[in-house]
Amino acid sequence: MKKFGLLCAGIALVALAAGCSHLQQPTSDQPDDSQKPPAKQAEGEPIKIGFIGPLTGDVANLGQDTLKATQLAIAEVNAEGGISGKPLELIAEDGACNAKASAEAGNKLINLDKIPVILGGLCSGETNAFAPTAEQNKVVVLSPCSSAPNITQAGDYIFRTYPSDTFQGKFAAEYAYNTLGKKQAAVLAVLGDYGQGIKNTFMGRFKELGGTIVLAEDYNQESRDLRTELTKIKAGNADMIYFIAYTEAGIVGLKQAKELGLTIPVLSGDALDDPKVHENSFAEGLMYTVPSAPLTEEWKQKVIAAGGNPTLCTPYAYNNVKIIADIMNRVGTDATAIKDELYKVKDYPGVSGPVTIDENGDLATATYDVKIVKNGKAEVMKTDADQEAGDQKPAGDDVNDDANTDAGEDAE
Amino acid sequence: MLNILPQLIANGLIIGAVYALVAAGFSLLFSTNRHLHFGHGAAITAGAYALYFTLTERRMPISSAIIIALLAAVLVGWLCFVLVYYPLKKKHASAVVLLIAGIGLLIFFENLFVLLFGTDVKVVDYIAVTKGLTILGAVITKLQLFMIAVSLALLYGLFLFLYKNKYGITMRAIANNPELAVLIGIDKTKFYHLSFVIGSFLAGVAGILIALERNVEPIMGTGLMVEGFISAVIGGVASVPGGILGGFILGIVENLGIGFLPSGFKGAIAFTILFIFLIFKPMGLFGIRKGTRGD
Repeated sequence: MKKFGLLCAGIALVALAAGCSHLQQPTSDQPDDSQKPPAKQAEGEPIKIGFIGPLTGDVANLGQDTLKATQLAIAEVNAEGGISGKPLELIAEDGACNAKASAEAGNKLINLDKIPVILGGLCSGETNAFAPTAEQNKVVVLSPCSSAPNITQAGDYIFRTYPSDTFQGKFAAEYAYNTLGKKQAAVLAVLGDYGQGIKNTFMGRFKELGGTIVLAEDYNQESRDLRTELTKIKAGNADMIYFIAYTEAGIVGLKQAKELGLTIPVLSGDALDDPKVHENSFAEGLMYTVPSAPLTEEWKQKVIAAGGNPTLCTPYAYNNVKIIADIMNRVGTDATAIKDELYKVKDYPGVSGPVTIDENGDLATATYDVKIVKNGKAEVMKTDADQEAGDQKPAGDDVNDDANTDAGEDAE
Repeated sequence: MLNILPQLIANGLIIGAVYALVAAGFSLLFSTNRHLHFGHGAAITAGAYALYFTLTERRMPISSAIIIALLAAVLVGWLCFVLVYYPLKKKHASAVVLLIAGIGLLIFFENLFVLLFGTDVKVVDYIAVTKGLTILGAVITKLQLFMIAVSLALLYGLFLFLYKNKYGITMRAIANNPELAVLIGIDKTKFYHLSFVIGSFLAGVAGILIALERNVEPIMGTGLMVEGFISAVIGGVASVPGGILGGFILGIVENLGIGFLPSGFKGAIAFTILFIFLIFKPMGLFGIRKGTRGD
């Protein structure tokens, strides 16, 4: 009995220690350039780089695809001679789309595996969770999918090749107001860096244009019952819902909206660019914004052959490996040198279009598509180019019949 | 806000029906076995995945799918007892050890389902999604009415079993006073087995209903286990009728609460209720000190 009590206390302590490990700031692992091993690595010894993404839990669907695309790119790099003859080796860790798991994953990659580069995370909350440790330890982070605006300030070593939601939220607000002619939006957003970042830029721009936010509700990422939130929206007089969700809650929310008889259009964000959402009958008519990525059929087939699906984050993940490999081949595996080179990336011909990184480590420009779900498949409705062209016209010209000329404010 | 009140109550009843099923099984297991069975969540997930597998992947008729799902839930719950709790109990492990073992079981099965079915969310696309019926100002689908009905019917059945059936009465006797029950020649172990079968059966029903109503994912059992546990505490952990009432109360309070507060507070509301009960009414609404007295 006593033994068991002690044993369980021990187990509890270990569990606690593991749980809190992300709180400890690493101290002794500053990889100063003199002791950086990779440059003197033996022939054939692999160069390790890290990957963090949601392999379980929310968004696991997109995370697994992204890992497959990353592995595909690494296999291609290795087939073409690797990094100065040495192969790249990927160490993949599960960020589970939450801060705790990804902070632990980041600590492991940085302190134990001592990788110079982390590819990831996907969810903005993941990237923000390990970014401070990476920054302190001078480890380069290159995210293929995190979009929260606050990642712009995450640090010198933190990069992304996915556009910030300062673009997306603004684009969505303009699309809703000008093109859809909606004036009264209800906003339902997931709590966390992604949902709140895009929500704030959307609401700011929508109000600036002259629209009203009838109701703004947040929900927990793990929530699978949005009925009461939707009930409140239904009781208001919104003419559209801006619904920001990851796959799992997205499916539930769309289903419950239909069951409750909510008929106003639903506009969503890039995280619902997941076939898992589209294949449901109740997702019919869902609109969402997503960065334009003109992928070739050949590339898509390559990803499918590698066991993944060419979903949202895959082209960026694939690009990132190629960009890093290209830099490593030129400057070696020192993280600081890689960082300096990343700031110089300009018009890199990625599979999703040209990649240019700005002085904040963000993608310099972004164009968006609006997709609509029809017959279980998402199709592009209107391109960013149309929208931009529209913006340049005199006030009111490009808006729908029911939109009036106060849309002129968007000319600024 | 008054105009949405009927809908808020309906929303509370729908989810409350599921909480009640989980809480009733949990309370039954606690009162009979005298330890918190957090592995109970695994039986919910097992039921849900078995339904998904048989109905959506294997295209079996709904009747066989439901039977297999219930069997899977019962099997998982029973295995928890046979493979983990029973050997620990034979070594006179304390309730804390059994509690930790239960959390371990929950995590173990969560990972097992990840291994078997992958991490992505599964949709049981069986009932076409349409707008629900309007009843007393609330919109509610047929499935949701069915959920409430099934839950109430089963819980009534459980009540009859515990108060009218010979085995049920014996089970309550063990819950009341295990030592005395052994003295008068009751085989406690047999009833431990029975309680796990019945409790996991109820969890399986909850799993099936949730699978049809929402979707299926490996972590679903953990979330429902938390809500089920809070429901059980509200009603008095050792009281089965209390657990049922607690489930409905939690469902309604949660939904009424976020009807008026920002919805990000949902989890906070549930845990606030938990703390209020733990501090001011630790025996819950129906709990009696006799039933929860330690060994």
